Amino acid sequence: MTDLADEWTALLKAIPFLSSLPEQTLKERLILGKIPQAEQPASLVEVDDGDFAIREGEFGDTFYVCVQGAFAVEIWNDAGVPVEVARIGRGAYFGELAMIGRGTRTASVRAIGAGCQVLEMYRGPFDRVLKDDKAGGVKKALEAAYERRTLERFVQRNAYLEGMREVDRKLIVDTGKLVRLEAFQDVYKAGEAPKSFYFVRQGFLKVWRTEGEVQSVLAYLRDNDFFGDLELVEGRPRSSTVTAMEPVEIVEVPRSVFAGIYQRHPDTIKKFRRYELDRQAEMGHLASPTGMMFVKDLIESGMGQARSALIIQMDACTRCGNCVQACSDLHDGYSRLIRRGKKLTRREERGALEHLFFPNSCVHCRTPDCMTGCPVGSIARDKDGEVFIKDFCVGCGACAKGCEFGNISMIVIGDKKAAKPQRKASKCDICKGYEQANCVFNCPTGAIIRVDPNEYFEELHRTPSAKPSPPVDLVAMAAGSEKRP
Amino acid sequence: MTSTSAPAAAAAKDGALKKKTLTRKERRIDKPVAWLGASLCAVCSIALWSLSRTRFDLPSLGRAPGGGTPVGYALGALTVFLYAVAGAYAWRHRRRVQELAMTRTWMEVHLAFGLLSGLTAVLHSGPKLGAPAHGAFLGAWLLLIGTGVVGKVISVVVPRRLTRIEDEALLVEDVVDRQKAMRTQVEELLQDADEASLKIANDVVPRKIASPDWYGARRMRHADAADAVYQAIGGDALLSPERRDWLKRVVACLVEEAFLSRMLTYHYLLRAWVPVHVALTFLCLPWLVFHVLAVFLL
Repeated sequence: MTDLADEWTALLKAIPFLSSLPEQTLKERLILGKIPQAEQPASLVEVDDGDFAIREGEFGDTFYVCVQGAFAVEIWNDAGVPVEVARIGRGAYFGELAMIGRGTRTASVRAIGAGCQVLEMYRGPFDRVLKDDKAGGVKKALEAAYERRTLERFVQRNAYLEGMREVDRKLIVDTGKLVRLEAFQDVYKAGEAPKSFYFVRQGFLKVWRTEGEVQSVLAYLRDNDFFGDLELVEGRPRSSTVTAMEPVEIVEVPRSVFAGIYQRHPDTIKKFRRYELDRQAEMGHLASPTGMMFVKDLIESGMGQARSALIIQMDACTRCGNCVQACSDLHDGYSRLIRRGKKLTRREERGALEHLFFPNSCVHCRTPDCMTGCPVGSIARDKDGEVFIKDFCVGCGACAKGCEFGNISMIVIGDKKAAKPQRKASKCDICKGYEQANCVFNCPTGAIIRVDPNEYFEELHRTPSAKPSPPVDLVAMAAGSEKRP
Repeated sequence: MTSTSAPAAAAAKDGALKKKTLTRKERRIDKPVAWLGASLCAVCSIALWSLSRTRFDLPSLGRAPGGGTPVGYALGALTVFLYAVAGAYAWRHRRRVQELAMTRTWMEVHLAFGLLSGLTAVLHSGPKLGAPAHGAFLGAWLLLIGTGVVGKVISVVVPRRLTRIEDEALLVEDVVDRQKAMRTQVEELLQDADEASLKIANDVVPRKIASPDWYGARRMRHADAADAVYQAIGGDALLSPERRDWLKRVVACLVEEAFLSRMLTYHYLLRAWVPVHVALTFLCLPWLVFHVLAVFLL
């Protein structure tokens, strides 16, 4: 047992971002340390030949170190075929990006041959080690590693940078910066001198300017979108302000690097131009006041980062309260759904208005803030992105404070009359283990549904193009020989 | 150290969130299936009744199709069965568990087959009222179905009207609380008002407040409606400039109160028909037993 712990400690010590920690700390905190859950901080996991340790696109709050055997790192190409990009063995580590960034796995790792083993590490003890690291060495190293890997992956996968020379891609990785912004923080303001070009790695941003006293929204940007190129090319001050609508991550490319790419890859810039025209056309589609208001309200209320939002269609809801009763019946008398929230109006395709109500119920964010503060790691997310609370919750309330929507409440369990009643966090986990959310299942009119706003609402789905259009010859367009889209 | 056959992340239940989350508008099949089933059943019942009238019972027995004929018995049995099917909804609605089918499917079955039971009851009767006890039972039965139809109409019409006049979605208890608060606010505003101001608040303003539904139909928010009322009474000309703010607040409160009153009416309307419908359903059960016993034993 001790030999095994020593062996694993040596493996952890060899990881660059953990190398600054003493071996004793690694051993005591990450391997042998006690955590409230049934699992220990680290566990040895056997992966059968051909099985996946992690899969691309899944969520996960664990990271892994290879102990034995060989593993293939695969990513899906545009044709939907997994392509092996690397082969790793003992000592290699993976999965830390999704664990730290609360995003999805960016690659799959598959076992090759028999006897493959990985060390599985949980987020909770890892967070505590980070918290206690007063010098911040681990955190800095980890953030640097995270930033580097994230930039590499982003540049590798961004459709706009396809066809670019490897040296230029590397230049973006080397000089680019991964910037995290909180909701309603500006990236830049109108009138400022342009300094950089930006890609959106994750999240919603709003491009807007004031015309007179009216705020005019020019575009909503989301994952893999870009902005800030026009002023750089034309050498004029920013004509609009770009504001984060939720916690976002953007990739900042310095002006000098962008200028070099502009000279060496005019086709890439053409793609940007063409895309901007597409974007304007799409905004035109939303130009009706109701359409714009709906997108604005939806994104400003944070629903852009929702993966599964509860919606009550008010025109069909008879206010019978059966949804709340059903929730309460299933969860020991505590309803995880509160019929208070935001009401939005949306124009349907056929032109009719529909009134949608977003009650207080977990929306299973893409980047859940509730997961960051848990001291015992009892709030977790399964690979599909469903955030749930494990039984060993200690009732500290950190997750409830962290949830910006106020969708986590603290409930009393056990003896309610005790001097110090035991508390536990409670939130909607879409009735984990059941076929359907009980509120949805038991609505007599079908007025209550769970939707992925980014997919379900065409307005959000259409605002930014998922894929860029084919490049367009701007010179020919200017000369009139190519039709303007 | 624990050891499992697959990593915890990979062992999690597959795609639960995706399965429970819609990515596009749902196409419900339970609704058309329930109504199609009920329609087919209705067609068969009518066909049976017509055959009874033209071929089986009337020509051979010399009696019009009704309770005393084979077809009449069959239609009666079908009506009892439909009563059980429709009534089972109440049981399912209260269970609130995830078994059998979704409650909304039960609701469609309840609506379609409940309505059908009215038709079969009428066909079973002849149609004629017959003995006073049986005629009264038929009346009660149709009344039960009538309250259901009224309830359905209310459930379709009222939520639309209610949501159109709500600035934000409120629970009925919130509406009550707000209404109380609004009334207190109006009382406070009128406490030290002079005679002329009181007259404006009591007579002039209420007359100019249109129906909340009228504002709702024009998508006017409560603040817009208050502005419109203020303009309609010519608020600026009624009082001195220093009292205009007071008048605006009074108008806003009265308009809000009108909206809240209407919202409350709608909330009550949404619930009011249910006890009547349920009471009639339960009343029909012993009556049904009595009817069957009366036919076969008495």
